[in-house]
Amino acid sequence: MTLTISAPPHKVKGITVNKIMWGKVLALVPVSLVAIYFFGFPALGILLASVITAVATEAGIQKVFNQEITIADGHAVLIGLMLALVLPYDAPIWIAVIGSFFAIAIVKHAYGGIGSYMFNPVLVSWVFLNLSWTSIMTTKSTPHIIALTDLILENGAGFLVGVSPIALIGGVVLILMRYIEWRVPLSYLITTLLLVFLLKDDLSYVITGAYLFGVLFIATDSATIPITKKGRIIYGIVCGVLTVLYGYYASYVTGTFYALMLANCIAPYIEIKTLPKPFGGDGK
Amino acid sequence: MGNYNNLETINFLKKLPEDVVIPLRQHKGAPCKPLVSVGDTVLAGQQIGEAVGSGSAPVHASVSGIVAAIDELPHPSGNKIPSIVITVDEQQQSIEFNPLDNPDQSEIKQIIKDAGVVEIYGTPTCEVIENIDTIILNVTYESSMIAGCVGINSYSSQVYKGLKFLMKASGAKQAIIAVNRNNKEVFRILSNLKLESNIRVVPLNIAYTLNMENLLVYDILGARNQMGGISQDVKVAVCGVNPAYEVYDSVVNGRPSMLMPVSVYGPVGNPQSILVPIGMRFKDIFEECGGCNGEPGKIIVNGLYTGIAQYTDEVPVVKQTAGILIQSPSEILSVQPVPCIHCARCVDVCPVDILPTRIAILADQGKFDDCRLMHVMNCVECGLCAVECPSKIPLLQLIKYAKVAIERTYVDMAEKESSNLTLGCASCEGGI
Repeated sequence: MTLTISAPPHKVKGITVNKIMWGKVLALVPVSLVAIYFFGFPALGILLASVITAVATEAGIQKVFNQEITIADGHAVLIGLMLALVLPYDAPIWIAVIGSFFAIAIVKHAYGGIGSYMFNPVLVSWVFLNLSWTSIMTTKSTPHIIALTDLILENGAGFLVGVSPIALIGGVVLILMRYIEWRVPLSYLITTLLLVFLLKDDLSYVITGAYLFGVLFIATDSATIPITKKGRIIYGIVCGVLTVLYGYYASYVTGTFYALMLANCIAPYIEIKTLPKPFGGDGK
Repeated sequence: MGNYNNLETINFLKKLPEDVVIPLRQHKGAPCKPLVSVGDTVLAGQQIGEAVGSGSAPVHASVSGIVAAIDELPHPSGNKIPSIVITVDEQQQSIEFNPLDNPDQSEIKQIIKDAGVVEIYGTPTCEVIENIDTIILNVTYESSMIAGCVGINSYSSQVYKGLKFLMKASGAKQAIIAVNRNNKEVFRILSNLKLESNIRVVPLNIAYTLNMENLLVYDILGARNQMGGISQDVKVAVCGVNPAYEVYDSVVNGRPSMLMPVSVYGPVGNPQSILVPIGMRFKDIFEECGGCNGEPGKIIVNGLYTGIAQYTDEVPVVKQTAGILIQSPSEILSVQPVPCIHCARCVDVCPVDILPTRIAILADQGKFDDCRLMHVMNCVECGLCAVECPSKIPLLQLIKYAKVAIERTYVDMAEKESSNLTLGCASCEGGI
C-alpha cells in the first residue's frame, strides 16, 4: 500500500487567486458592456487595446526575464480592463496602449509583480497619463446624478466607468461572496457620506460611477492596503477624508483617484501602527 | 462521502483483532518502563508500563494475551516508539477490578493517576488538575474528530459524575462545560442533567482542538496567559469528555484507561464512531468498519486541518487518537503556491490575532527573531490560515518552522520534545 504523507492541512477552501481576479473581471463586464452600448466602437476599441496590451506586456516581460508566464491568473486582464474604464471615451487608442503598458511594465512588474507593488497600477498609470496628456485626459463633461435613471445610464459620463453606477453592483456581490474584503469599502463609503453630509456638499456629484469604482475595485486592491483589521478600517477612513478633501474643492471623479493614490502611500505606515496586540500575557 | 449516521453514537467492536500494539508512550513525558517481557501472559487491565517522571502516565493491557514482542514500532505521532505487542487470546480474561467505597480527595487523585488517564493534548489528567480552581470540560470538536466528544451523547451522566470526581480531586470551586453553539443535542442532554449551581454551560463559536487550550480559557474566562504557558498557570484545567468518562470508570468500577472511542471517516464500508481497545491497529479498525473502498491514498489522524498523515496503516490507536480519516487517491490535495496577494484572509480567521502571512514571509527568509517579535509563539497551530489562503501558501508549516527554530535557539524557551522538522542545511547536520 502506498500512502501519501504531507504536512497539514489536508483539505483547503476552494478559493484561489485566479478565482478572485477573474471574479473581479466578471464583475466589471456589465459596466463595460453598458459603456460599449453608450459610446459605441471607440469604447470597444479602448477596452480591447488596453486588455490586449496588458496581457501581451505581462507575457513579454515574463518571457524575457525567464519567469513563469502567469497571464492565466487574470490579473493582467483585470488591470487592462480597469485602466480602460478610467479613460475618457474619446481618448485615442494609443493612450490606452501606453497607459496599459505603463501599468503592467512599470508599476506592476518593476515593483515585483502580483502582490508586491506598492501603488495600484491603474491609479499610477492614470495619474501618469493625466500629467502627460492633460488635454486628452480631461473629460468634456462631469457626471451628475440627478434622477434615478442616471444611476442606470449616466449621460454626462466622462470616463467609461461613469456610464452606469448601478452596473458596478458586481463589486457588492463579490464582497458578499467574500472575494473582496468589506472593511475598506464600508468605512470608505461611510466616511465619505458623513463628511459630504457635514459639509452640506451635493451628493449628486459624489455617487458617480468613478467614485463607486474607486470604493469597490481600486480601494480593495489587496496588495496596496494594510492587512491588519484595524488598519483596514483606518485606511478606509483616510480614503474617505482625502476624497472629500479633493472633491469638495475640485471634482469627486478625479478626486477619488488622487485620494486613493495618496492613501496607497500611507498604507504601510497604517499597517505598522496597527499591529494587533499579542494574545499572551504581555498584551497590556 | 457516505453515510455518517453512525458517528453520533458509540458503536462496539464485533471482533477483536489478532494482536494489539500498545506504545509505551501515549503522553507528553518520557516513555514508560515495561513491566512485562516477551512470552509473559497478560490480562486485560493489567499494568504493563510504569510511568517515569512527570508528564508520564502508566499504560495497561487493553486485551488479554501473550506478549509477542517489545520493539520500536510506528506511532501515530510519526515517530517510532517502544511498544508492546500482545497476541490476543480467546479467553479474554481481565484482572479483578477493586473500586474503593467512597474514596476521599487524595484517593481519587491516586486512582486517576494509576488509571493512566491522559488528556488528548498529552498531559496526564492527574497533573492537569493540580493547583487549579476551575475545570473546563471541552465538548467542542472539529467535525472530523467527533469521537472526542461523542461520549456525552451516550454516557452523559457518567461524564457528569466524572467531572464531579475531577472537581472533588482537584478541589476546584467551579466547572464550565464548553459546547459549540450549534450543538443543540448536547444542550438538550445537559439540560436534562440538572447541573449543580457551580457548574455552568458556555456556548462557543469555534472548535477548540489540540493546542488551543489557552485560547479556550481566554475566550471563556478572559484570563490572558503567558506565551507558551499552560492553562494551569491561570489555575484552570481543560479536560476532555473521554478522560472525564474514564475518571468515572476508574473511580466507580476500578477500570484503568483501556478503551478509546475513535471516529472513522472516509471511503470505508461503514463510517462510524467505534469504541476500540487501545493499541488496535488502524488496518484492523478499517476492517471492522467494513473495509476500505479501494486503496486508501492518505490516512490522517486527528482532523483535516491539523492532523498527521500516516505512512503506514499498522499504527495503533493511542490515548490521543480521536479521529481517523481516509482520503481516496483522488481526494489528495495537490496545490502549487503562488505569491501572496495580501488579501488578509489569514488575518481575519486567526483566533489569536497574529499576522500569519507576514510571519510566514519572515520565516521563509530565516528572520526568526522578527517572527518572535511578531508573536509567532502565540500561534495555536489551528491551521485555519492555510485553509483560507487563496495563494495556497503553506502558512502553517512556515510558522511551525519558525517556532521550532526559536525554541531551539533561545535559552529562555521551555525545553521541547524532539521534532520531525530539520532546520537549515540538511548536509551539515541541520545547521542550528
